[in-house]
Amino acid sequence: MENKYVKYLRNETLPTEFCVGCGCGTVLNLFCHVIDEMQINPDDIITVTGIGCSSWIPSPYFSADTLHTTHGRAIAFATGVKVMKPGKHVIVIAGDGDLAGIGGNHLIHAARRNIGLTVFLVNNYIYGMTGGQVSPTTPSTVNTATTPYGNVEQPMQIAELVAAAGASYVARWTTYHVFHLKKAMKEAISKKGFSFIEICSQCPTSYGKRVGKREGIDQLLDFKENSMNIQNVSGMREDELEGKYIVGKLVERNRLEFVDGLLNINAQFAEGVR
Amino acid sequence: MGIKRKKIEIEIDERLCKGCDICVILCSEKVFTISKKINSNGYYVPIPSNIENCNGCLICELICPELAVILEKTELDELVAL
Ligand SMILES: Cc1ncc(C[n+]2csc(CCOP(=O)(O)OP(=O)(O)O)c2C)c(N)n1
Ligand SMILES: [Mg+2]
Repeated sequence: MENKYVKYLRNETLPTEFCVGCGCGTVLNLFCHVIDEMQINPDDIITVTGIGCSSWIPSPYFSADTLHTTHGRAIAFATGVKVMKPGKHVIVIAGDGDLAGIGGNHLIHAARRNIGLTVFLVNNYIYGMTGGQVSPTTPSTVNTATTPYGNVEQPMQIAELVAAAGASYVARWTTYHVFHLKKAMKEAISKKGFSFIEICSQCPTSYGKRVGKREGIDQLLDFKENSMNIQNVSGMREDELEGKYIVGKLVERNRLEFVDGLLNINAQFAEGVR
Repeated sequence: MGIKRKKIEIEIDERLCKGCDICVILCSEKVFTISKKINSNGYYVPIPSNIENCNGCLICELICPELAVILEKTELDELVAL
């Protein structure tokens, strides 16, 4: 039988370099399904990414025009791309270290400006590629390579932050929730304005082994058993939600998109209004 | 009245599979079994040995981190009584 999704990948790079059971591969797989089902021509997509394992999803694997940028700067580059090519789907896929850590400021302000990017943040709770250093999303109970005696920092709730900053669409799902995540990816790509999905993902090599979950499936079963829908958590105390993955759509709203706003101003000058 | 019977075929792409066994464990109908034979890439590629149990939910194809599970549904002309 023919593997009909391989045509979306750079064939010469396969099989992937991802570790056995890595969630990045599931995100890549779902992304191919979404592009296929939405009948989007890959020529109309520009993917932009930073540095990390999850940054390998668009570069080298997904075959479209791609900018593989410096660590943390994917959204800054993508902003420029979207302003010059507003008709294209500009899609950023990168990690928690990249987008929430070193690139956190770009993320907040892109959401505030509501620029029409689609951002998939693959949150594996760690700097995976470099061997398991603490990230801004690492739970405070987890010892890492840079916090071997305990992590005194509190993790940041990145989806809530992006929602508060003003994005048009924000959701959180895990790599276990493939059907929900696929639907959310379609909504995010179709939505006008800044759309963002935090994808909780497994990293058996750099994270799972630190929490007693050495295989990809162990973390997937944790996602399955400990996820709660956002609609069912209102009124619950923080300690009751410890160790839970709160999944679902956080916001969907219509706000003026950044490039539309710019074009409106340009049009006023073109018509000689001012 | 009736619905069309579906024929389901499943194949694992030996070039891509790395034997993580996520499909084996998450399939609710136990369609896959873990292979006892190592392949030329050094992985134990699962075998879809109980295809007749498959309900076509697609979780194996969608969750596979290597895009290695290929599932095809074809509608047959026979009708199944409701
Ligand atoms: C400016 C800069 N600082 C640090 C690094 C080293 N570095 C490479 S990947 C990475 C962390 C990536 O973590 P994340 O974005 O979560 O991706 P993951 O590998 O976990 O998917 C770091 C710190 C770098 N390449 N460039
Ligand atoms: Mg990470």
